[in-house]
Amino acid sequence: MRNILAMTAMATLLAGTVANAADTTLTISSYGGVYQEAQSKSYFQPFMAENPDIKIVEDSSSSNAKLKAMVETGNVTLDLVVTDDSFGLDTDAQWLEPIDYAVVDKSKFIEGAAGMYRVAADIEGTVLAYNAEEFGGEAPNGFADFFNTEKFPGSRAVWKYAASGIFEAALIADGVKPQDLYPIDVERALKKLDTIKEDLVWWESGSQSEQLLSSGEASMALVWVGRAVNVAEKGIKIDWTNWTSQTGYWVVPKGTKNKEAAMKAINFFTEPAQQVAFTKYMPYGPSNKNALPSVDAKFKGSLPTDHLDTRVLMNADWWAENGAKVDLRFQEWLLQ
Amino acid sequence: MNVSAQDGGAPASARAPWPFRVPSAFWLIAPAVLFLVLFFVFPLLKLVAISLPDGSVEYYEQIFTTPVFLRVIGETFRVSLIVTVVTVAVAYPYAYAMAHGGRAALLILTVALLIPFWVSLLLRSFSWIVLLQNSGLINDFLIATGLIEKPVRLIRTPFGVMIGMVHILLPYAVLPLYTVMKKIDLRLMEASSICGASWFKGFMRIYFPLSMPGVAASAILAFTLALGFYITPALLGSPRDMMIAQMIAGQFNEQLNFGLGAALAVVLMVLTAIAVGLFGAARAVLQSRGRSKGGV
Repeated sequence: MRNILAMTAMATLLAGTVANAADTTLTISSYGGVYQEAQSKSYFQPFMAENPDIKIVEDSSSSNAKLKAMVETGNVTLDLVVTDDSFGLDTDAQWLEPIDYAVVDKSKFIEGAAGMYRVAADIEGTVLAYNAEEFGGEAPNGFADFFNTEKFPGSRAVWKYAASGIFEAALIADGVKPQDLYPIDVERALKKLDTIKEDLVWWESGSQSEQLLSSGEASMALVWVGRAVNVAEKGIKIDWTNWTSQTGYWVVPKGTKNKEAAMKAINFFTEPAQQVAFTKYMPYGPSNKNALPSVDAKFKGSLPTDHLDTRVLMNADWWAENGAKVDLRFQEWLLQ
Repeated sequence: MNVSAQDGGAPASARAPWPFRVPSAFWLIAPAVLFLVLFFVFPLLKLVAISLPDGSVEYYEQIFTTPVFLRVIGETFRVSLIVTVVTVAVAYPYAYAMAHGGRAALLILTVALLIPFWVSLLLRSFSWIVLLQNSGLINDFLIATGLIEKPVRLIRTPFGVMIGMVHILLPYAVLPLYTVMKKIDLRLMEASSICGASWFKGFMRIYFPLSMPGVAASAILAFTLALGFYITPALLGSPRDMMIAQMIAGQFNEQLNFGLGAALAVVLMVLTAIAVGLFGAARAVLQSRGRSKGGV
């Protein structure tokens, strides 16, 4: 009996020391899969090694709706969240803590990567991917060819989401210059889309887009660059003539108890060493301009940041303001 | 009411009948009721509250004045109705074979029914893609045998949605039918044939009316489940086959407009309740008519 008591006391003591070793627990939510694994290896683990007092607990999968509901019900269980272009804008202030630029170095980011409530985690893109076997040696050249079903026959797979970049792609194919895209001429874009409506196949998840390309069901697709690289072995190539921006962002939910640690983590995750390590695992470019020259050789050439000159930068603010209206029009068009 | 009298252990017969006495069955369902109130009724009321910010009905106004929403709601009911009819029509002979086809048939049919039932819905919808797509098994086979030259469009059509939904709903429709059919006394059919009725006539006059409760139960189940379908129409249908659940998800996940999403969900729920109510009323009318006819 005495022994048991002593052992319990010892165990309690030990547990106490362990708890002391990490007195802050930072809960981070990302998108899961290979993406989050890469973040874990290149960001989270090195951060814990350097900051033994902070323990990172991972959660997935990030959802803007979940974040919003969490903050509104006052039950903030996430300290740091990876989000997409549609969230973290100035209009989302009620759900987010502003980025503390006294802790996070603002000057290190590439253009458009550091906002009031979000900083870019990595630079992604929606690219034109095509099945090289389908066109007998011919390669499409930009969004104009995406709409040219005579020269490049076959189905086109596109994300069924108004702000996916499809409106931008249609307008560029119709001759609009990237700098003149906004405000989007919705009716003009839909008119252009009408010309290939029968050839459009819509995807709603990344795995579905891969399936459509690799099975030959679609000969061309607008897909996330990571997905296109995943099916490269199946003869899927990327045409970088035009591509639309897509970005992963760090945001901090309003009301988190670990705000300081979250800011510290953001700064650490966006340092060159971590961002370069990340490019070993994922074909997404760094948001830190000092990391650009030294990206890993593995995906060199397939990183969006290797093609920043042809990037069509999506205007997230315009979408935040007009997204709901355009979405309804888009749904209506889909039903026609 | 009188505590001391109860504590005194007065014989039950001597005690005044207690008007508030709760039947013991109540305590048996109490956990279920509590569970439903906590995890169903309360969130549901919360959903209704979200759809009415500060008591304003703006979201409902928006739904009933926006053609897109009305069209998708109408389409949802139309597709669900067709799917229900097809599902019950397919389930009926299947359940009949299960109920009256002998032990071996029952075993094989039950296993065949339940194994896909345990596979995730997403996986089953993806399997249909593999089969039905232009470069899928069915089209490859038809082209290889020379029956067709160009792939037939099976997927991303109303047909694709239909086949996927019927497949998923089939177990839900077969099981209630089977439980009813198994209890039908087949000697009644024998009696009808002794009286000179053909099998068909006996079936129509005796078996089918007796199986009606099963048909009604499986139709209601299939219909209410079909109204909420989300993944299957998204994967197997064209955008024109959009169902209301996809729009609700879009409002929550993409637009982050919880109010409009909640209002759409409430509208779907109320319309479903009305549809099920109408169905129940029609059934009651039919049954009472059948009874009075039988009485004559």
